[in-house]
Amino acid sequence: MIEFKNVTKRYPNGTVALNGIDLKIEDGEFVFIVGGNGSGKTTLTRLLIKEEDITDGEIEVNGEKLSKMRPWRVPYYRRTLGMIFQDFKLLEQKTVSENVTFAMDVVGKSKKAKELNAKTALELVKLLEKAHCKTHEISGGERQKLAIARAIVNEPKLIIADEPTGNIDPAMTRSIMELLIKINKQFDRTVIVITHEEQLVKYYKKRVICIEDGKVKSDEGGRASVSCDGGANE
Amino acid sequence: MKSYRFAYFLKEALKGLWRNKNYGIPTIIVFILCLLLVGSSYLIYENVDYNMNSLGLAKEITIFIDSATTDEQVEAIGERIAALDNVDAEHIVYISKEEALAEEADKYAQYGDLLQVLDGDNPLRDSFVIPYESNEGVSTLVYQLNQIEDVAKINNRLDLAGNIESIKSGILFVILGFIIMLVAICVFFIVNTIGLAVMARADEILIMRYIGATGWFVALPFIFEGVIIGLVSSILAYFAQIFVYNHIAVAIVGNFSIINICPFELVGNTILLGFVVSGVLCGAIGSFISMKKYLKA
Repeated sequence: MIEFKNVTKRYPNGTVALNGIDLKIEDGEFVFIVGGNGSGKTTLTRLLIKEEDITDGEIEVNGEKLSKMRPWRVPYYRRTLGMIFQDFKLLEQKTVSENVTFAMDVVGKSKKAKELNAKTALELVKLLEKAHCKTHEISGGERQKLAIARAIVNEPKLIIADEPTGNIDPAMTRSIMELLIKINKQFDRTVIVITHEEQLVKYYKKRVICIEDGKVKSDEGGRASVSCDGGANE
Repeated sequence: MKSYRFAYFLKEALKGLWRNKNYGIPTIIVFILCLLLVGSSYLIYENVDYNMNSLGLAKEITIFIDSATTDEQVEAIGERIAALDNVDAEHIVYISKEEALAEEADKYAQYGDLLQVLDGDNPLRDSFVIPYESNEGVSTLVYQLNQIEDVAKINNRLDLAGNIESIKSGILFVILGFIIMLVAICVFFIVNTIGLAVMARADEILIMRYIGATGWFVALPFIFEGVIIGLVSSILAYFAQIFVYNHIAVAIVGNFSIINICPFELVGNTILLGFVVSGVLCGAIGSFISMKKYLKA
């Protein structure tokens, strides 16, 4: 479970990115977080992955308080998360397969486990036949699928996708979203998708949390309509 | 560290070295030059020492025994010398007059007819070569040796030996200066080389951090990279040192027949060990400094 308790983030230049946010995400939920530019959704993500420290309040992820987390513990915490980025963040000089096994090198998995898990993850995202291709030889949509395979290969409890469909065409967008929903349903993983794509949010009828000016403007579960002026409806 | 992890770090370090060869090669050259500077100074020091020993200017005194002394008396003198303070008793060497004559005959073999003049007589004396431990108190030792009955003559070159010891100390001081310079220069170059390698792989490091890599996991390939640069440089510097010493130094000094050249084999192992230890340490320290911020997080 993820819980934000009166979370405030103030940057050294005085900008208040989040202002007393309260929200709770249960295990196995699929949540869209929407909001316009500068609304605070990126800060929320950065706080969640412990890239930034909160100024006030507390974030608890699976019982662990992020404000109390020691620096040495952060990498181990991040291993329980799977990150997906708009710009994919893949290793261009490596092959499709190497990009996935690289994530397992980091956590020290054995060679046998790496081979098996990489095969399973690439099979799931339908990239097994391109396992030996270089990253730059595959399409944008396939690159995002590869990023998803890398995110899930260490079996994290929580998947955070930051604008996962921002750089891909509509047909592939649907394929990516179906994949994330499959991971949520089939593997019972909590999935948080940060996006500003109104059509996407409307189409999938999942819980939508709208952030505006650093505050939760609305939190609507499973409804198609999203009332978030200046945010998702922009 | 698990063996497969060690292999992973080593593989990544070698890949990194290949990728950053444009920065790595100049660093290796600087390392080699610095090590050569220290190695050459050390060889000068060793050669001074070697020549001092050859000229009998080492920390030792030679005493000559009266010709009329019996073997028993000579033995007793040996025991008295061994019992004196400041004497390295284990390394006292006794040279009989017969051995001394044979040595002279060998030394002047080309003038063999000279010995025939002696007509079987041996004008030389039995002697003891007495190494001592400290220059301080050597006057007392000379006095004590003078007090021994049947000691006919004492040879020592304390003033000259003292001067050469001062020169040796000076060279040693210069070597220490070079070592400090070497460490500073090499560490500076490694910090920059590894810093550039880190910049070139900033995206990769960022991804590693997002997927849960520890600071050590990120830093170790770069630290290995620094250590490999130090190790490769030290081995290359060793061979360069052999070349410089055997071809250049010997050619220059060879014109001065008074100087004996210390064979490289006598000091080669010390130089190799010194090069490897200093190269590896500089590489490790430099890369550690570069990666410090990643190790903190």
